[in-house]
Amino acid sequence: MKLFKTDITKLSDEALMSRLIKSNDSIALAELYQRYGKKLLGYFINMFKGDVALAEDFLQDLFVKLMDKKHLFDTEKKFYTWVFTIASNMCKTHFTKMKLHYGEEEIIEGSKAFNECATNLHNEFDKQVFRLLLKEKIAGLNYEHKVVFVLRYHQTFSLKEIATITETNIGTVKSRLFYATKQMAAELKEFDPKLESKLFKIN
Amino acid sequence: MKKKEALESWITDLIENKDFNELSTLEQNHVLEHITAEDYALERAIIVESKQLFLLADDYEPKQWLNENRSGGFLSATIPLYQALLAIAAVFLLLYIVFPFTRVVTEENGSHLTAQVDTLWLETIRYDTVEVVLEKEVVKEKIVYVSQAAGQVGNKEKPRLFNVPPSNFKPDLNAINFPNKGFSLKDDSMRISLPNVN
Repeated sequence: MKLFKTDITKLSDEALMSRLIKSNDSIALAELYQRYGKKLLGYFINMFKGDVALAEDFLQDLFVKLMDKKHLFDTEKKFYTWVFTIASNMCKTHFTKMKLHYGEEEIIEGSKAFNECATNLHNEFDKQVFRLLLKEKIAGLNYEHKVVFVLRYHQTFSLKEIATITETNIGTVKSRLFYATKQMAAELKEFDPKLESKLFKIN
Repeated sequence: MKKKEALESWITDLIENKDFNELSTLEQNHVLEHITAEDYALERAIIVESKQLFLLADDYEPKQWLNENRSGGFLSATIPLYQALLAIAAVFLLLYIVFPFTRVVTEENGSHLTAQVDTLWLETIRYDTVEVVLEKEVVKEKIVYVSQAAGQVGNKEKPRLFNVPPSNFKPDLNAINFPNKGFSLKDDSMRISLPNVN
């Protein structure tokens, strides 16, 4: 028995994982959930086109996996890149299953419908419509481009961290980011870029 | 190939961080060799708006299914050993203040004596007879006569009527007080005034 109780909130992620590995410390797991639950939920929501229920299921599954595979964690490495790697792999598996079940064309069918909608609304589109279309375009990205895009612009990971999470190199990450943006820009070409100054006032 | 990657990376950095208008003339000219100003603006809009879109997901809170375990409740809460020891010491201190040790010792002695006299066996019972002799009461009466008592003090008291014994003297009423013996009613002149008398 320790004489002084350790303040769990002051421990690093890696120290918490060590406790989890050594003694199945549920308090350590709860603390990790407290720190990363919201971020990971947001990540899943963005990866799954705003499907909150599905994102919550994935978040729960992720922490179950984390308990099952805790022995695979290398305490010398960063916890958050490891946990996001697991999350990204879960998304990858999900997208692969979706492709097998429904085919890629059906997945992006919604995007086509939105393109038509955008054409009809060409004269009166606004920022709200642009956001809706953008959401669809992000959802329509293939997994490799989407995961890089979300990690970069939602979780604000560095290119190096994204490379670690996606198990690629920095060059590939840069390239995927560049082409993901370019692809969406091509699909949203119908929007009048002259309105940029009015609608998309960039900070 | 590396030159192409470097160029893509450079353009991406610019799009992420600056509006087209904020680029220097040199940067603008260099960018325009690879991408139009409209495309640059649209790509930047995509990145900025995507950030805003992604932020919407942060409004959702994860279910607290693990946090409940984290708190644990009062009964399952753990405290450090030193806090437990301090609590015990505080209890003893409080007891000492309320019930000083001296009183505790006295109580121990009393209980010790009680333990020695454990069981009493009463084998013989003696009944004592106590005889009480009561002396007969002697009542002495002293009669003091009034005359004597009065003589003793020198006062001569007159005899009282009720102390005179009754006499046998009977006066002759006919002879003394009533010389005439009277007459009968028929001789009385006043009888006419009486009713029903003939």
